[in-house]
Amino acid sequence: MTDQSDAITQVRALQKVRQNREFTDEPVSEDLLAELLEVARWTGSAQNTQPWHFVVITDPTALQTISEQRPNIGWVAKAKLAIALVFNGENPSSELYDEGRVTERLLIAARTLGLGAGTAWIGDAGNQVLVKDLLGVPREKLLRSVVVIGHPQQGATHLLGRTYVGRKPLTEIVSYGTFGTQKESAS
Amino acid sequence: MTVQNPQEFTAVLRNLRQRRQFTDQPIPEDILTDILEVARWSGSASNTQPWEFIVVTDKEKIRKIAESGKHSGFLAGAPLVIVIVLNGERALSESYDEGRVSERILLAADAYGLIGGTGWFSTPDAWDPVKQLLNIPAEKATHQALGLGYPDPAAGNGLARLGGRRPFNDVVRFETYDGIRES
Repeated sequence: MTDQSDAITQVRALQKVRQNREFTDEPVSEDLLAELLEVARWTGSAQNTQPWHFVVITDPTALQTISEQRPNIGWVAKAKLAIALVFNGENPSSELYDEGRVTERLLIAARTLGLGAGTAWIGDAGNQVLVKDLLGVPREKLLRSVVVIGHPQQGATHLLGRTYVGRKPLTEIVSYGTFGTQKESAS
Repeated sequence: MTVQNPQEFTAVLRNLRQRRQFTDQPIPEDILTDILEVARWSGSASNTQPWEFIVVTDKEKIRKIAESGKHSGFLAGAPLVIVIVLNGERALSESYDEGRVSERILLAADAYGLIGGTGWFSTPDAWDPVKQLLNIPAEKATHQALGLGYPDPAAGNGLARLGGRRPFNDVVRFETYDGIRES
């Protein structure tokens, strides 16, 4: 990937990857699922520990139960596919960083494959135990989120009372050299 | 994101690794800006965007940053370093968001033929000097810096040293934790 215009197209596309939470009834094909799982499997992790398991969930009853764990994840009930991210539970902080990495790759891969994906956080420790039991995941493991994947509903919106719609401007979040220093305007 | 050939792009995703041996060639401004736009548009918990990014190109500063952590020495060879500053309000959720935004930055860099890696400041001993050097307010959290640059051809492609991954059936289960699919 060295052609500059290809690179710009690809990077601009990355800027547009957002979460999807409303899906059609069309299931995700086995081929696409296999692609997604390979992307997950090859994601980087702290010292390549790969501290994860991915449990693929298509059972409507299981999805329904998960959707009932927190007030704002009801949308999971209508999905056809979720991947539960199970972590070893040995280093919660670095495993959470890795959970962010693998989630990001799944969201990007889903979008690339013409699908949409969104993260659902399962809730507090009690909710997590319930879902672990539901999926037969040993209780000492961590199961904090599932990535839900499907064919996105056209025109869906889910701006749930966000602090920001869109993003802060670059000048507010980027400094040059030291914190708070803006770039000199000379090109 | 619409890509001509999705499978080609998922292969890019699968093959993306951290690489840490750079040439001195600087990163052009327009490419840097595009990568920073990707960082800016990354998702975060409730869209809180709990981050700031400090771009460092000064050799002496980069050298000091590289010396700060136990696993950050390679940054000294990078022509450009992006130090990630987090609000320091919600350690766990910010750590997850930090993982997300790092992944997007490395992917965007890869699209431009750049390589990159993460240098960690894992303890106060490591991050305090970085915060002081860059005037980062004490209440903020700084755990890592990304070194970006062009790959050093003399270092090979690095693939020989790269770790593989656990087999598919070891990490993927269907419906329940013991649901291993025979194939």
